[in-house]
Amino acid sequence: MNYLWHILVMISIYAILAASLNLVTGYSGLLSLCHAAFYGIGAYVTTLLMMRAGFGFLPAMALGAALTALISLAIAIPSLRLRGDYFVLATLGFQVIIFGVLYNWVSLTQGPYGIPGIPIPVILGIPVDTVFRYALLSGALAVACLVMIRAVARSPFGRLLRAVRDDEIAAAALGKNVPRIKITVFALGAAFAAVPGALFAGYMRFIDPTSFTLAEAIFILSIVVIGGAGSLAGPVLGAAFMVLLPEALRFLQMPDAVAANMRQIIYGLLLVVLMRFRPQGFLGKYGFE
Amino acid sequence: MLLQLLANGLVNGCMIALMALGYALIYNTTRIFHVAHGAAYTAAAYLCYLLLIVFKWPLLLAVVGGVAAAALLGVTMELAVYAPLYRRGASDLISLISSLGLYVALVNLIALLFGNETKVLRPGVEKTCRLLGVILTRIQVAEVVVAAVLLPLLVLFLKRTLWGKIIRGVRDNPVLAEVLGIDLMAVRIAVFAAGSALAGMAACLTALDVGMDPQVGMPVLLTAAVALIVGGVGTFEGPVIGGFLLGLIQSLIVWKISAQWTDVITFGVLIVFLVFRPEGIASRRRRLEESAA
Amino acid sequence: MNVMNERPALNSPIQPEDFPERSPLLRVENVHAGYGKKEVLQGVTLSLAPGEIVAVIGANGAGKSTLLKVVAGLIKPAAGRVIFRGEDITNLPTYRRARGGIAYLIQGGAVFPSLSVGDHLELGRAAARRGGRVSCGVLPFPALEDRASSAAGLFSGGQRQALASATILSTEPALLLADEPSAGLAPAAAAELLATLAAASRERGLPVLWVEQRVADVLPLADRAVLLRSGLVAAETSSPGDWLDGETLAHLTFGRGA
Ligand SMILES: Nc1ncnc2c1ncn2[C@@H]1O[C@H](COP(=O)(O)OP(=O)(O)OP(=O)(O)O)[C@@H](O)[C@H]1O
Ligand SMILES: [Mg+2]
Repeated sequence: MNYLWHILVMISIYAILAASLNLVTGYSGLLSLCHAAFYGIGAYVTTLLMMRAGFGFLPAMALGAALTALISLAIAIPSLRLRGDYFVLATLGFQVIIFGVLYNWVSLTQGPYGIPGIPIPVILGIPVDTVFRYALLSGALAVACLVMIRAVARSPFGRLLRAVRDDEIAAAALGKNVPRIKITVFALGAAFAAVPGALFAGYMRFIDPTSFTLAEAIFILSIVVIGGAGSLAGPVLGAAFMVLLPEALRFLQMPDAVAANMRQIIYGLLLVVLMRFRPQGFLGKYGFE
Repeated sequence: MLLQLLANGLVNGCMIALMALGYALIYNTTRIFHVAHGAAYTAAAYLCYLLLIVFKWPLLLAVVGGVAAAALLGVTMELAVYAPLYRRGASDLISLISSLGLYVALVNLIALLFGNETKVLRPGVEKTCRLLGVILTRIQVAEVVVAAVLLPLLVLFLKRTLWGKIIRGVRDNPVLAEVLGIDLMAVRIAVFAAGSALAGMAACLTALDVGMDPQVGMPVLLTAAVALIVGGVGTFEGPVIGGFLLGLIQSLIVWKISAQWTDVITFGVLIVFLVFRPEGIASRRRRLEESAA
Repeated sequence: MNVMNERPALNSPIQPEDFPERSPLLRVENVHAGYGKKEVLQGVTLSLAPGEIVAVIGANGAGKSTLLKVVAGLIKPAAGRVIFRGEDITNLPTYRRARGGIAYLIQGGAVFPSLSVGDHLELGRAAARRGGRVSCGVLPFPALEDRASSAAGLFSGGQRQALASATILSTEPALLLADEPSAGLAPAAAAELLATLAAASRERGLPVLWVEQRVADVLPLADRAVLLRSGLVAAETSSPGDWLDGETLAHLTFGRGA
């Protein structure tokens, strides 16, 4: 039974990650490859606040989200003025920089050794100390995040995002401050990405930089693309699919070493095939045109 | 010490410049953010390993094999993935996502076939040469020689010959080029072949020098892309200049700070350029309406 | 046999008797074409005889450029055929049409910003598979004088238009599709450019399918004129001068007036 709850925790984490990236990529048409960096910043900030400053899980998480949004401005402000390709490269660079900092700033992050012994989250006095309870916590947070993201998408601001995505020049001509809209949504996406970071840290009770690599960022992007960019249910479906895929491979009794590569080969090819024949993914509304 | 530092920076810069020029050929002509270029790089290194170590081919043939493999892979990617997207009129984002997928699939295929661990192509201590108080291995000398021959020839070729003008024309305005009678698809295949071959050359030489693992392609590709922006997108001398600059900066980092910060500072340079000089060092003058695009 | 590769030399203008049954040089047959789901041309039929200048006029958005794009091969028609020198070229790719002599002067003076005038001429001839070189000096475009070696990206709008026309003419086309070559030029310069193009056409026997907003300037130069309205040929005349009186024109274009 614990196995099922574990899967649910993982799906929740990736559903929030994908939904928050969907805000940036699906609704606003900005291809970002540094979502794993925001995920990592969220995890590290929450962990450090809990372990070094004695914060509780939820306050640490909230502060982590705020700080992540702030840090995202450092990349958004210089690169969002420029053409799309520059932005993609800048986010790639930011991802590499954050990974490098997590890996090399040993006095803060303990670098490659990682941080063990992360305290169990305590919510309203109840310790979240079983997988079942953790599934409840992450499920609840996932629902909360998804509801908020849906509210953003359906708000006038959400309509503005789609207007900018579909015709930036027209939106600018109507007097909309396009760079500011982009920067805002990017920071919003970053803040939401910090939440699963906190969840991941509290669940694993150990973090190291290898969970927050460029490969992970590509993985998150592919969840959005496969599930369907620009739709509300797409990221959830994509997350379920991508979390269950390795389990299915395990079911086929593929050795673990092979399965890890196999899983990546499958999703890499899936991206290529989808872009060719169904760029809007399984459920998407936006085909990156 | 300073001379040695400069020499190491030069060797490194040569490889970055080769990779960056190859990437620029493809990027400038097709506007595809061709991340899978990194996979062509990795594939060349591994084919070189296969031919040299497993099949015991002579060194030179193994390198030729690696370069050919990269070119073939590049052309295959264009024909199988990018060309159909181009014909459909798909957006740049779609090509980019396809490219990411290709990269992930290919690199993991390589890891599946060859294992995840680091491989060395030249076990033992390499013979060194001493020149003006600088110590370089023979492979490093070969890296410099290859780059010193190829880079100026290619840049001149692209500047002066009809072929170079065709490539620049396609880059400037593909529709006009086609309307004048240029077979865009043929030009695209040619730049994919040539650009990927350059990546293959850099990959084989670097692999002989320091070895490789399945993940090497991505940092090399990213460094090349940074070199292109730092040097100036849309030019062909730009990426070469940018490559040498980054090579020097990187060996300075290794010397003064620590090798671990190389990637961080490389991208720090990118961000600085994006803020202060997004058009790069060598970019030509433009009319205002163009640079706004 | 593939006619596209066997082009008569430039200095022997194409004669009607080169073609059996006096077939026209270009024939557009019942073409339907558009962008995505939107159908712009809704069954256009028109033909062009060797050496003839045909003016295509119509309001903004009538489908004039779309028609030229179909002939040049940039848009595949949903239905209908394009026939050039008796051969069905509907499915021939753009670059093969260009090599066969169909030259398309794109609306808005398209040039290669990083190439010089000399490069343009060299590239144009090589791309269209014409041997030899053309020197910039011989081209009838005063706007290009003294600019032979500077990059086209730094040109003014009028210089770009002149360069675009010069590049096209240097490829020795068999058919010119000209899309508003005078747009954006000062009135005097526009009249001059039109006269230059018309003279070049007469001199070489070069047939032109000529889209032009400056109706009063182009009609006197044309042999025939075609009026496009909402994707259809609304009227046609072999004496274009007749359309010059403003009332007829307004009537033809907007469907109102006397
Ligand atoms: N690339 C395109 N995508 C979608 N629709 C287009 C495109 N180009 C033109 N159209 C539409 O097709 C119709 C005809 O356009 P076209 O360019 O043929 O007009 P035109 O007669 O050349 O007008 P103008 O005199 O303004 O150049 C217009 O309604 C226009 O909106
Ligand atoms: Mg037009």
